[in-house]
Parts: sequence; C-alpha cells; structure tokens
Amino acid sequence: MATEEDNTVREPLDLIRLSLDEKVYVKLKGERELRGKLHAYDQHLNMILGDVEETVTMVEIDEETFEEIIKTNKRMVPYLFVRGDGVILVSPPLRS
Amino acid sequence: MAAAELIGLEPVQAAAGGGPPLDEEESVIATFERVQLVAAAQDLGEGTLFITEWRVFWLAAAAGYSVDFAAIVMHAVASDDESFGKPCLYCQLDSEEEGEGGLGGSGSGSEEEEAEGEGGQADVLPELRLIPADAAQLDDLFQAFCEGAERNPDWSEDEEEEGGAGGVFFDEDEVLAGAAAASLGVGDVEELVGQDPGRFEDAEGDEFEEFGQRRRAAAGGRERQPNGGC
Amino acid sequence: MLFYSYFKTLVGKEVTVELKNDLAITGTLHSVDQYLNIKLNNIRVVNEQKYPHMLSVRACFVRGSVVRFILLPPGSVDVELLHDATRREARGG
Repeated sequence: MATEEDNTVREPLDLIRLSLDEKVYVKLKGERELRGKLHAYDQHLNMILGDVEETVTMVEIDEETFEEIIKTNKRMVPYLFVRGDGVILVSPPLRS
Repeated sequence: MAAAELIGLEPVQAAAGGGPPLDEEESVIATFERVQLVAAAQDLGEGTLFITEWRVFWLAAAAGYSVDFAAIVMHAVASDDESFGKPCLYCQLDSEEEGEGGLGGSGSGSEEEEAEGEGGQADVLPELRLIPADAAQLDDLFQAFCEGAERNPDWSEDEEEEGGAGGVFFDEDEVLAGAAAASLGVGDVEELVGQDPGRFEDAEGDEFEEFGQRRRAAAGGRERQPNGGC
Repeated sequence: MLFYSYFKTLVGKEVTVELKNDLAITGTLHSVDQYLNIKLNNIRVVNEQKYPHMLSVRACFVRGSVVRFILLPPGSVDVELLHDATRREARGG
C-alpha cells in the first residue's frame, strides 16, 4: 500500500491513481467504450470522467446478404459517473 | 406460461392460516389490503400484499406470487394518466436472472405487445403494477419498497467488499495496448494486434491464471469480435 | 464511500440516471445511500419510445446495481475536490 505520493506501481489501482486528471480509455460491457478525463475512482472502479466521448458499437446482420454491418453511435457527455461493475478495462494514457 | 411467471414471479400457495408461506426467520413487516396486481400487462385482480424482510407476497383467492426485493430493479409512483388508468406503484424486475429462458425465447407471443422489441429486446417487459384500492396508500407502499430494497443490497456487492479490489486484474501488455487505443482510436487496436498477435495472450505465471480465466469469462471472447472502426 | 459522499452533495440537483436496460430517467436527486441506490423526484424526461408510460411517474427508486451511468450537472462537479478525495481514498483504502 503506497503511503505517500510516489510514482511506483505496486498494484493495479496505483496505475489508475497515476492517471488522475489524465485522459483514459475505458471499455465497458455491452460493446461500449469511453474516452475521457479521469476525475475520481474508487476500489470498485466506480469513476467520474469529464469531457467524455462514448462509443457504442452494434453489429447488425443484413437481412438479404447476411453480411455483418457494424454501426457505431457516439455522444459527448460533460461529466459522467460510471458504475464500476460494468467496467472491463481501464487504460492509462501512454507513458512517453 | 402465465405472464407473471414469465417475468420472474414465483407462484406460491397461501399457508394454512391464509397468510404467506414464510421461511424460517421470515416475518411479515407490513400488509396492504386490496391491491390489484398487473404483471406484464396482464390483470390478475385484487389481492393482499405482504411485505417481509426480503420479499413481497401477493395473495389472491385464485393465485399467489412472490418476488424478492433483490430482483426489483426500480420502483416508482405513477400518477393517474391514460397509460395507467389509476395511480399505482410501478416496478421493473431484473430480466437477466430467473425467467431468462422464457423472456429470451419470446415464443409465447402475448397479445399485448408493449414495446416494439427494438434491438433484440424481449417483447414482454418485466413490469409490475400494484394498484391499491385506496390511492392514499401509495406513498406508504413506495416507502415500504424503498426500505425493502435498502435491506436487500446485492449479494455480489458484499462479496467484492471482502477482497478490496476484487476482480481487478493487471496485465501490463493489455493495459498498454488499451492505452494505445486511448490515444489512437479503436480501429488501430486491430492493427496493434495484427503486429503482435500475442499481445492479448494471458500473462504467464500461476498467479495470473485464475484472473485470466475470469477475464475471459467477463469479456465473453471479445477479442474475436469485430472492433468497430470509426 | 467517496461516491456516496459525493452524491450526497448533489441532493436537490438534476441528474440523469441511465440503467443497464437502457432506461434513462432524469429527475431531481432526492437521496442516495451507501449502495448508491438512488431516489429521484420531479421526473421529467425518459426515453419515451420504449417506456412511454414512465412519463407519468413522479418519484422513483433505482437499485444501485442496475445503474450504468449517471450524467452529472456540469456546474456541480468540483474537479479539484474530487482529485483530493480520490487520492485520500486511495491512500486510506
């Protein structure tokens, strides 16, 4: 358990701690993805994101050709609370 | 199958004394007389509602049902208007647990098609309406359901509490790949994977094994699904 | 407890709660508990195509575990405060 502000990563959530106020990528159940600034999180991966772009991907089957049609819906949300139980993956920005 | 059972209500028979068939350590906290039950748009008539520590019973002469508070996703006070007719307590039930087979199959084709079933949704919405003969009871009913829900938080939540960051796994490769996705956009992940097919493989080492399996279960084989390009 | 504490500061404000079954409910936050169960009043907008009858709902209770998102009112998000609270929680938790 990190007791002071440091940049070492000892456990998964440390990695997320270092992403506070940074843009993160969040993959959710149901083919949803979020990109936004991480403003808060807890141990359940509940989060508050800012300037969020949500992308929902849907696959439809063309009734005549049986081809898969992939549709994406995007929307912007100023501030969004995300319930942690729907989260599959949280990625910090690339460390350069 | 009756609409009530289709949406996850448990059929029950009244106990010897006419009350609900209680389990051990279960007791009736509140009773509401003359409450009409409409389950998935099917009117089941008037009965008596019994609230216990963890569930609701509705008993009438012809039938009886119970539903756990944990299965009630939301409940609301609906006022008098054309879609309800009378003020009622409107409840939505969890459609993913019991009754999933029935709902998903959608074969029964009930007469009342409530929703257009867009996007592969079940065509019977898992809804209940409880209509007290005395509308003044409505706020008490709402309150009783709130307290019931508060007494019955989700089981899974309790389990997670124990492990702290339960369910969190750490796979640096995958995290980095995801970070690339954050800055590049999803379509590019396909490219990344193409360059390095092992990127989404499980990390080696026994301690990761269990997490890997859990992750596959949670992700539902998402690696193979097409990732929508922009 | 971070989010429980935070949501308590939003009582009286308007939020939109989006459930995992896609139902979206906008209303005034009346109360929240430690499980993030949510009570809303003055319900105003919902996705009516799917749930037309929800329009006549005046108060509702949503089980925390079925919430997918809560859209927050921009004016009531103090980013600095959230960062501090998150760091404190990360250290203590």
